[in-house]
Amino acid sequence: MPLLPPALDKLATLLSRLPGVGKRSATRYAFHILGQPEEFARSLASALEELVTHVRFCVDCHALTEHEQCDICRDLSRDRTLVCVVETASDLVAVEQTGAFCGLYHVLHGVLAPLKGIGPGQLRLANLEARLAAVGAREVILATSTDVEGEATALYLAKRLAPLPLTVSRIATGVPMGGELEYLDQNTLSRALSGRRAFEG
Amino acid sequence: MHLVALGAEHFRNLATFRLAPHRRFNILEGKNGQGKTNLLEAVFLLSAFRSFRDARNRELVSWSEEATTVYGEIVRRDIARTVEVTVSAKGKRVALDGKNITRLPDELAHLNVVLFGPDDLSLTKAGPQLRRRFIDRAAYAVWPDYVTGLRRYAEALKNRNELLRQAAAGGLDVGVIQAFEHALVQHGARVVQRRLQFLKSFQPHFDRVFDHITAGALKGGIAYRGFKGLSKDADLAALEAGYAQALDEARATDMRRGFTSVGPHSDDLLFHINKRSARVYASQGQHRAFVLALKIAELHRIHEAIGVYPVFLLDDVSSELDEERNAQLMSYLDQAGGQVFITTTDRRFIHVASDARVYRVADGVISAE
Ligand SMILES: Nc1ncnc2c1ncn2[C@@H]1O[C@H](COP(=O)(O)OP(=O)(O)OP(=O)(O)O)[C@@H](O)[C@H]1O
Ligand SMILES: [Mg+2]
Ligand SMILES: [Zn+2]
Repeated sequence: MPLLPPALDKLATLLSRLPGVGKRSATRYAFHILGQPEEFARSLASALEELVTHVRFCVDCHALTEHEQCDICRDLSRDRTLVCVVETASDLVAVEQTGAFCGLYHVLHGVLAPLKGIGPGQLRLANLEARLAAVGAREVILATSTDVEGEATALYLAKRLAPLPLTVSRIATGVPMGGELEYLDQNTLSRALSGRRAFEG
Repeated sequence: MHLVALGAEHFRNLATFRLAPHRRFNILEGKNGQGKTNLLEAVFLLSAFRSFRDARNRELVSWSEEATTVYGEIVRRDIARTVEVTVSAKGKRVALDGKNITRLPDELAHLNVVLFGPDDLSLTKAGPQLRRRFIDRAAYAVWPDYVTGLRRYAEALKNRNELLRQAAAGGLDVGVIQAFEHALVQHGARVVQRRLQFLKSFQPHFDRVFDHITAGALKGGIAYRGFKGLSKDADLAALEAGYAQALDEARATDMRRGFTSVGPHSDDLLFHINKRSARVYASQGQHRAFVLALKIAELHRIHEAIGVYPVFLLDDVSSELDEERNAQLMSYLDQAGGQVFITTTDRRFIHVASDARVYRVADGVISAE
């Protein structure tokens, strides 16, 4: 390992924690940033600063927002009887982009993954039942991915929500096996949504 | 289906080579420890992206090198495809037709390979793992998407085992364990269903071959041993119900032991000769005959499914079989018409009527005669 100035090395080490970035590319990025006009590094730093000070999770649905409550939760024209449960904030964006859904969301920020130590307590679930009651939801659509963890999470939620007076449905399995929502094209995804079926588990 | 080009660089002890294998028989002759099995391992790698010796990545790379690349050009019904596998301690990279593939597609069946090596000779005697591997590889060749179900089952299984351990440590969440057991049951039942289906379709091929090999003197049988009460004619719903019940009954014990005791990962194939367990009663020669029939029937079954013969890798088996079995194997391979790679220390063991090319393997150097 060649000797780098500590500040450069520190940045490279941080960048290498990004998904898909190894130590070598991280070092390349660090050098690249250093090679740009100083303005670039400063705006990057302030963008990061803004990100952590302004972006937070919606208190109701846990989507990303710059307010206490996200735009979708505040939008009174959305159908409050329909709540779509997704794994990640980017899944929310994927569903939203289909234009086929006009209800509310609930973002779990993960799926049940015993091997990674993720149980119900690690997901944003604590307020789910109370929130469903508060908005008067009549249907919950479970839109977690169709891999083993996503399926198990959907089943877990279906059982947990079964006592409530609402319909629990699962997106249609037109979603290819192992498919993550984010990578689906919009047509497939809107078909998966409209073809959802009441949960039988 | 056959290889028209095969090459490798820095693979095990092999010197960089590039061959144009014969359409039919390729005989790799050389003394012990020269690199014959390594060459077969390279072909297998092109098919399964792993070693049949369960070697780790770095073991495949020549000792003084960082990475190895194996290359093949496959022709199947006049359509040519290339596959290139690069292996280093860090991992594997696969390129199909020159394009890197990042995630293995579920239905990848670009090259079907059947291996018959010294390990297979203990198929009827050794532990169940070899037999599960036999049926899984064969079923995968017939139904490429079978591997998806297997992977998912394995994933659900790992999760349930982890939950069992957490539960034993006082962290039981009934809802979570139920959810993963549901996945386990769904995928497990499907795996069992596919294996039963495979056996049903495999049995006629096996019967015919075994009958021929033993000149009608013996009757062989194959049965599936799964969870208690499993019927070979059960439909998917019955398999799911049966497996769920078996899991239910095993749960307390499983929790104590920290792993799942029932399911396709612990099932077995039972081999019979004249209705008696081959493992317990068969003679040495009968074991050999049984294994030989299994392997030849596998070739036929795959041919039936995909319309072409897979590439057959025969590792040093001829010296282990007696003369008669050896002659039977060769005459089958002669008739079948697929591409074959055979290793031997002495080509006089190999009697084939078809055209053959002989390669000498000496200290990692492969040379055509
Ligand atoms: N990564 C490696 N780098 C260099 N040499 C290796 C590597 N892995 C294995 N070898 C060597 O390759 C040699 C040949 O192995 P191989 O199993 O192909 O022999 P073989 O020709 O099949 O012999 P036999 O007839 O005894 O089965 C062995 O001597 C082994 O030490
Ligand atoms: Mg060998
Ligand atoms: Zn919100």
